[in-house]
Amino acid sequence: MTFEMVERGPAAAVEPGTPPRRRRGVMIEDPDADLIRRWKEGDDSAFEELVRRHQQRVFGLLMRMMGTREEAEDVAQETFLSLHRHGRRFRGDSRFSTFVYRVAANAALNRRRTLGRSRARIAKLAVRQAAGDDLPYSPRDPEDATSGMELTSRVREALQKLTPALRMPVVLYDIEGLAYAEIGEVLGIAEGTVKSRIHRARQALRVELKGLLGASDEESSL
Amino acid sequence: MNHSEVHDSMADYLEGHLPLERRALFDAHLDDCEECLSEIRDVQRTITLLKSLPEPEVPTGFSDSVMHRIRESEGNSSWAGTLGEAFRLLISPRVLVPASVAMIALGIVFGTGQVEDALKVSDAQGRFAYENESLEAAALAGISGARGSSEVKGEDRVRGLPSIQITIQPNQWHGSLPGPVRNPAFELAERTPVFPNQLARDAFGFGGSVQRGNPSFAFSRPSHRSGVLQVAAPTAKPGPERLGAGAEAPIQAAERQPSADEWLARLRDSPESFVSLLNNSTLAEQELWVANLARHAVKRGELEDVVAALRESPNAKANLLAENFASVGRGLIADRSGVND
Repeated sequence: MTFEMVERGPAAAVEPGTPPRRRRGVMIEDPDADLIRRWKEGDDSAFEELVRRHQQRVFGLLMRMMGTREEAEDVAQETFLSLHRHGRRFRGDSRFSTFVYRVAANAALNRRRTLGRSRARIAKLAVRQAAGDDLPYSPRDPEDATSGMELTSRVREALQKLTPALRMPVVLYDIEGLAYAEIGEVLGIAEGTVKSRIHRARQALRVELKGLLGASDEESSL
Repeated sequence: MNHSEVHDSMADYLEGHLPLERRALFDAHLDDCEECLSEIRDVQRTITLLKSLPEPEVPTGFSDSVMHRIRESEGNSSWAGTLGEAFRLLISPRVLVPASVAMIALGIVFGTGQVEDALKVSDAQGRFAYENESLEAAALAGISGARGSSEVKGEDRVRGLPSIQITIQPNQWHGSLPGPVRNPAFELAERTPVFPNQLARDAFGFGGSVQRGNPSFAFSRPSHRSGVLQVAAPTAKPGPERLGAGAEAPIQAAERQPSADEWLARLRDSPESFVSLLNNSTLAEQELWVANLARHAVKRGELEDVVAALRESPNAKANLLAENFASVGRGLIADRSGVND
């Protein structure tokens, strides 16, 4: 049997003398293994350390998914509370970071379903964001129109217009740096579906950001 | 390689995953096709823009806040666990069987004469009362050692649906549960305002509550002197006059739960405080709040006012909540009109 390392994502620290776990031809060394063991033994400070270690990734993903800091923080808290309630059942079949992403992704999708966020609401939110109500970086001064802040604001706005099914994979791949296979695990979909959704999301973003891309100074390195 | 093949291979091309031979074909197509070249440049710029998004800053004290909530919830669950254990112990055969035997023995000793003496029929309308102070209040409540009195009062209830009320003296047991109070959303959800039972009003200044449907128990909140346990028969919904009577009762208890009307007024007058209240609730509780308050607002014809107040709030979450209320309310109105049709 051959093994291949996970292509992307945070590098796994290998402890000397620890045999790697094997699953579906992927060799996984979980840098969180020691903390998880301590937590399962009842050490809550180990869980606190896990929260600190993963909060940035979870919050980053949820900011892209939810659109506002307030909602992102709410859902991030729910994510870690849910992890604490059910996470001791984590068996180590995947990396803990993948498991955390999965819980966060489910929490985000559940929240959106629960709130019944309609397209009209998304559009409304986008309008508010464009007006600078929610985003700290939204430009109010016309001179900022060509600045990086404008770019950031427009990209966020365009992301919010994608459906969650398209947004989640493209955020996980292009922003969070997960591999296709890992995204498939997080979202419970086939790797081919992940690739196809990322492609569709990029195309939709390209259309949405058309004006911006033309004006951008970014040069392709083709 | 044609347009379609270029499209299919674009992701792999951008990631550098295309085999050398196919990459050469891809490049050859781009040399001749301005449209595909433009598209692939745009996609690459889009990816660059996505990657250039600044990393959001995690809120200060986030992990502390998470751990605080975990400790809180663990405290609650350990309390619930202890209570559950106590209940399981109480209903376990080793406790229940001897207790039942003791109660039967007591019944044989006292049942023949004394209880009958104690039971006095007051009038011909079916109103009667138990007057033996140490009567089976404790037995009914399942509590040993409690002193108390109980009575069945027909007049205050919907005709023909009696209630039994047990008043337990505080030096034995307060009749209230420790720990956090019942969730207000739950209270609001299915609470049927209870008929103004005179004794409850006297003791607390307001009636207790029962769950609609099957017979159920509800404890009044820990108040000044005594706890009241109501055992309610399945009842018809109280008429509006009953609600009115309950509202007029002198309010003595400091911890009275607000009525649905009061919650509605609070939501209308101060959406921000309502939002901060919601922030402390679970997702399911939040749904329940919205569903019930929207239903009440529709019933009162105040849905538009509530939605307007939430929309006008500077609080972003209140604005989002406005849409939830509008959506739920519209659904309810549609349901109603459907029924009416």
